[in-house]
Amino acid sequence: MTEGGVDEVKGVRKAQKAATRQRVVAAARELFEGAGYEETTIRMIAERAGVSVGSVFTTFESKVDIFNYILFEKFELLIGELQRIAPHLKGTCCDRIVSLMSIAYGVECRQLDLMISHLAASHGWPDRIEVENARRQQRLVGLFHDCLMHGVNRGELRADLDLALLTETLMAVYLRNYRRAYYERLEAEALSGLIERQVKLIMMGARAG
Amino acid sequence: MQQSPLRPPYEPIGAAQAESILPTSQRLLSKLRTRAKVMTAARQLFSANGYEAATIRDIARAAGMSTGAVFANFQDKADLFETVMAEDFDRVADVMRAAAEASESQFLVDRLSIVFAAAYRDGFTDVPLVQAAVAQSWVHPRSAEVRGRARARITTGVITDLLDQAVRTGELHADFDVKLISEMLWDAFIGNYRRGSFDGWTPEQQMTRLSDQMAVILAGTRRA
Repeated sequence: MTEGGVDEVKGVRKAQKAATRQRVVAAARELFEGAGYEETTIRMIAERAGVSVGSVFTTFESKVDIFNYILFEKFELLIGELQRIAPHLKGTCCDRIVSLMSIAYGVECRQLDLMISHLAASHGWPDRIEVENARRQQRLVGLFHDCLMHGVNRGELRADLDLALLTETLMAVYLRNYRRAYYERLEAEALSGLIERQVKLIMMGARAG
Repeated sequence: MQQSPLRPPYEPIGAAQAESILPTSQRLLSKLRTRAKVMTAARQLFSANGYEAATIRDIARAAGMSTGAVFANFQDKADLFETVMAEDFDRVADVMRAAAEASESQFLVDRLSIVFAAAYRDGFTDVPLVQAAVAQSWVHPRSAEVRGRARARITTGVITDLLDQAVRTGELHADFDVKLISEMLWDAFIGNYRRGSFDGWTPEQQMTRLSDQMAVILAGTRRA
């Protein structure tokens, strides 16, 4: 076999592997959304994707790694949307943060089951996944942090604020509201009204003067 | 009759009374003891392995009985878990109420701090179990959520009472949404168990964090 032929075989294998990966991810996403993360097994994913259990394991180490990959994709879409919008936001610091969170609710509520599975799994997954998740969340926190920084620089907010603590508190409130979305079937719009009241309360204490 | 150590609050009857009871009551007593044994084993396994990984079979084995005996007392794993957590919620509510009553300060932040510190220290003391409950509470059925909220209302009720008192004394302006504030405080309280779990925080560290968070959440109310 010529060298070019070897490369060709390698290329085909690589393409096959990528195709398997895509099918596994698509099948897993449907199952995580439908049956939920805990209920879904690798066997179910393999069956739905039309591949062997062994093939699933050649593309991903474990179920939680497939989930983590899906969360990574989901997060990139969300953060991309928020970063695109962030420079165009107007109004007070409070308005900007509420706008960002409302947009995020709009995006996440379109795939609420996946978001709920994400939040549920996040309380019990391995440390290595938690590290990646925390890193992603830091990027989201960074957007809120920038809004607050902007507010401080404009003299709208107090200069002595503990911005890390403030953003973390806002973030916790933001995430917690998904519970209301799920159990009270609140739409993104209702969540947006709720977060506005909560952020207003918190930001009242952060105002300058 | 087998003498098994019973933990409060599952000691329904004193030893002196136990001697004088009728056989039918003894059956009831025995049933309660079985229940208590299952609960103890379940609590340990839910804490060690999490909700999903703990099986009825393991719980039965740890309690020294058949799976049938477990099912005679509890409908299913979800029922068992809920009963364990209900017991904890009752204890936490008691701890919080006692702390609120014992506190001598009239200032809202001080009183809240005393109540939450007691809840961290003597209330929800099993960090992995709380994490398991929080994880489960994101995915359990709506009916379980409704019951869970009824239980949480008792604990957040202690917080709401403190806020209401502060409104009466004029420390907190009546315009503030007391329910919204107490929910946010409670969520921050529970949220810190995540740090307890992933970062190994002690109850004192959790409380220090919560004090900071309370300052953030209440800063606006204090300036109005």
